[in-house]
Amino acid sequence: MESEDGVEREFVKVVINGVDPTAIFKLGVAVAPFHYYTDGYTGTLNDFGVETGSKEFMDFLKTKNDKPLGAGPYVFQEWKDSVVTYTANDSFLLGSPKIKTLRYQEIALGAELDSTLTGTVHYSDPSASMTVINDITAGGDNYDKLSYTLVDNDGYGYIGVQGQAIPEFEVRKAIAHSLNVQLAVDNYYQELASVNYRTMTKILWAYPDNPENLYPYDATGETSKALFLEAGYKYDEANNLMTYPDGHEKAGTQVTFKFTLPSEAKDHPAGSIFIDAQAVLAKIGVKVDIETDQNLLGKLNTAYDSGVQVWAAAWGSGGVDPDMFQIWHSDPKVNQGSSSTGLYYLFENGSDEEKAMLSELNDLIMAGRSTLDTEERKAIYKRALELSTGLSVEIPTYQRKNMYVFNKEVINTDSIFTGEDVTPFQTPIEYIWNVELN
Amino acid sequence: MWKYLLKRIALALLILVGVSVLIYMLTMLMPADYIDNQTSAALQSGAMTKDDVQRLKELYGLADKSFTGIIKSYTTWLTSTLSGDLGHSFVYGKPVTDVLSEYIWISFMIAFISYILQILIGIPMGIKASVNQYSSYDYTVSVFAMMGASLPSFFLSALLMNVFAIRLGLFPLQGLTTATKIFASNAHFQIFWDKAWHLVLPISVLTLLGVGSTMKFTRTNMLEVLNSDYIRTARAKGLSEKVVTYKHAFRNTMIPLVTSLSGMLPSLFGGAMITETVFAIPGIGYMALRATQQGDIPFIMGYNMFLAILTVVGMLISDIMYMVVDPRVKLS
Repeated sequence: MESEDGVEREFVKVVINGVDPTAIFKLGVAVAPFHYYTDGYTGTLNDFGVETGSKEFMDFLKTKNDKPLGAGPYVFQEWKDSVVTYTANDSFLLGSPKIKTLRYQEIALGAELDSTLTGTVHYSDPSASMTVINDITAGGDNYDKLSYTLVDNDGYGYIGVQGQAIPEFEVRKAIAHSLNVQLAVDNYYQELASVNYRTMTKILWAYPDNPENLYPYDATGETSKALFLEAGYKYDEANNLMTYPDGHEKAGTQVTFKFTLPSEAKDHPAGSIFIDAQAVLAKIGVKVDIETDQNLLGKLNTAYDSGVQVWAAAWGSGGVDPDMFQIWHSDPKVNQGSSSTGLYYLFENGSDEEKAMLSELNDLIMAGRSTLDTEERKAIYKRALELSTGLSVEIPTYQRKNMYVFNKEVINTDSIFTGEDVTPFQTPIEYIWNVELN
Repeated sequence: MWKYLLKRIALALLILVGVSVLIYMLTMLMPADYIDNQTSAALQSGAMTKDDVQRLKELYGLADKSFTGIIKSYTTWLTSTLSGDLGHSFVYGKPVTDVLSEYIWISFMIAFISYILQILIGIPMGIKASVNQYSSYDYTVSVFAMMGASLPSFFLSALLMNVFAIRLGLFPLQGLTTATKIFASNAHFQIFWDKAWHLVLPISVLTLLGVGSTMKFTRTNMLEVLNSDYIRTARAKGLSEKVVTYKHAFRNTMIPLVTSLSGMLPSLFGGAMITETVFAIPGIGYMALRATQQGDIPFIMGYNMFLAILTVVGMLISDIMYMVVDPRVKLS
C-alpha cells in the first residue's frame, strides 16, 4: 500500500470488539526483524514468521537473548564495564541517525548532574531542584556549558490513609484536615511543584479546572477535633487526651497513628507535612509516630496486613489515559486487582455513605471507559475525582517537575526538543535519530 | 600437623554449613523477596494480579516461606551447590559462577593495589611513630590514622570526588571507562590507561581508609617489642638504632602483621561495596549490593558462601603462617 508520502508500507488494521479508550495504549506490539530472529533457525518458516506457540522456536530465541534487535534507530552492540553501546541503524524507517554511536553509562544515583558537569556523560536527568537551576543560570565553574529543560512529571505525590486500618470515615477526614500539603511545595520543591487537590496527575486532559480543596488545612486542629468527636472519640480537655470510643478494642487509650515514610523526613517531600501534622494532632491529644521504612513500597500491596496506616508515596506513569479502573474500581467481582488503600474492604464493610460513594464511583468509572467523547469523559471524571478524593483514603499532595540536563557544547540544541515541545511523553531526545552533535 | 589440618578442615565445613543455613534463612525472611520487588509496581497499578505474583513465586521457588518450606528449598540449594552448581542469578540472568568470575577481578585489582599501598605507607609510618613515641610526628600520624579509619567510605569518596573530579577535574567522576571516547579495539594500552585513571580515586579512598589501622597495628606491636629485654640487650651490645629497629624489633613485629594480612583474604576478593557503588565501578561489591537489595537469593548465597570460604581459608592460612614465621609455634 502506498501512503501519501510515496513510501510503500504495509498497514495493519486492528478491529476492537467494543469501546475502549485505552485500547491504543495497550497495543504495545513489538516489531521484531524477521531476518534477524530466524537467522540460524532450522525449523519451518512461513511468510509471517513461525508457527504460533512453537516451542522449538521459543527455545531457539534464547540464543538471541543477549543481543536483542527491534526496529528502532539504534542497534545494540555490547554491554561492558557498565556501558551499553549502540550503533546507528542506517535502515531505520524514519531516517539514518545522525549520531553514529550512542552510549548509556551507568552512574550512581544522585550523580546525574555532576556527571554531566564533568563530562562523564553529555545528557542526564537529575532530580529537579532550584539549586541546580540557579547554578546553571548563574553559569561559571563549568556550568556555562550546561542547559536544562523542565517538564511535568507523569504522576503525583499522595498521602495514603489505609481504609481498613482506619475504617471510620470521619477519622480519615480528620487526618486529611491536619495535612498541610502546601509544605511539600514550600519546603521541598519550591517553584518546581504545585499543590494537587485531586487524585490524578495534572498533566491529564481530564484533570478538572481549578478544583476546590476538599480538605482545607486547619492548623488549630479544631476541624479535626470536631470530626473525631463526631466519630464518637472522647476528648479529655484537662489532660489534652483523645481516646478511642467505647466498644473500640483500644477504648480508653490515647488515639495513636503511625505515619510511614520511605526515607528520613528531611529527605522526603511529605516529611514536613507529617511533622506538621504530628504537631497539629498533638494539640487535640492525638499521638502520631513517624517512622521510616525503606521497604514501604513493597509493603503497600499488603498495607493493612503489614500494619501500614498512613504513608507517603507517589504514583508514576498514570497519565496516558484518565481511566481510573485499576486503582479505584472497588467491586471485587469486576476488578480483580488489589488496593493498598483498602477500597475493597470499604466497598463491603464501609458506612452507607462510603458504600454509596464507592458505588457511584464504580459506575462513573465504567461510564468513563465506555465512550470516546472527551468532553463527556471530562465531565464524568470531574465527578469521579470528587468522589475518589472525597473518600479520604488518598490525599493528593503535589504535582512536580522533572528535569533534563545536557551539555550544549556537545549536543546541538537546535536538533532536540526544548521548551513546550518537551512533554512527559516526549523527552528532549525523543527523536534521537534527528539529534546532532556540534 | 596433618591431623590438626584435617580437624580444622572438618570444623571449617561445619562452620560453612552453619553460615549457609543462617544466610539462607535470613534472605528468605526478608520482608520483600525478588518477585515482590519486581512486581510491586505492576501489582499496585493493577497490571498484575496477586495470582500472577503467586505463580511467579512458585516458579522461582519463593512461594513457601514456612519453616519446612525454607528447609526444603535450602536442601535443594545445598544439593545443587555440592554438585558445583550455584544456580542462576535472578537479577543478572546468568549462572552465579559466571557473574562472580566476571566481576571479581576488577574488585581484586582495586583491593590488591590499595593493600600494597597501605602496607608501603602504613608500616613505615607505624615504625617511625613507635620509635619516636609521644613525639609530634607520633601524635600527628596517630590523629590522621584515627581520622582515616573512622571516616565513612561514602563521605571520603564524596569529598575526593568533589575536590579532584568536580572542582579540579583531575580524575573521572564515575565508572570504569570513558564512555564518551571510542577506543580502537587494539588500543590495549590506552584502554588500560583509561581504566587505571578511573581507579585512582576509588583506590585512594580504600588506601586512606585502611592505612590508619595498618599504621596503628604496626605501632602497637613495635612498641611492645621495643620494650622487650632483648632489645635492651641489642642496644647494650652497641648496635646501631637502625639495626635494632629493623633487624631485631621489626622482624618480631612481622609475626602478628603477617597473620593479620592473611585475614585480609576475603576483603581482597569480596569487593568494596560502598566505594564501588559511589564510584559506579562494576565490581563484585557493586553487583552484590544490587543483588542483595533485590533479594536475588542464588546470588546472595553464592557470593556470601564464597566470602565465608575465603574467611575460613584465610583463618587457616593465618594459623599456618604463625607456624612459618614463628618457629616456637607448633600446631597440634
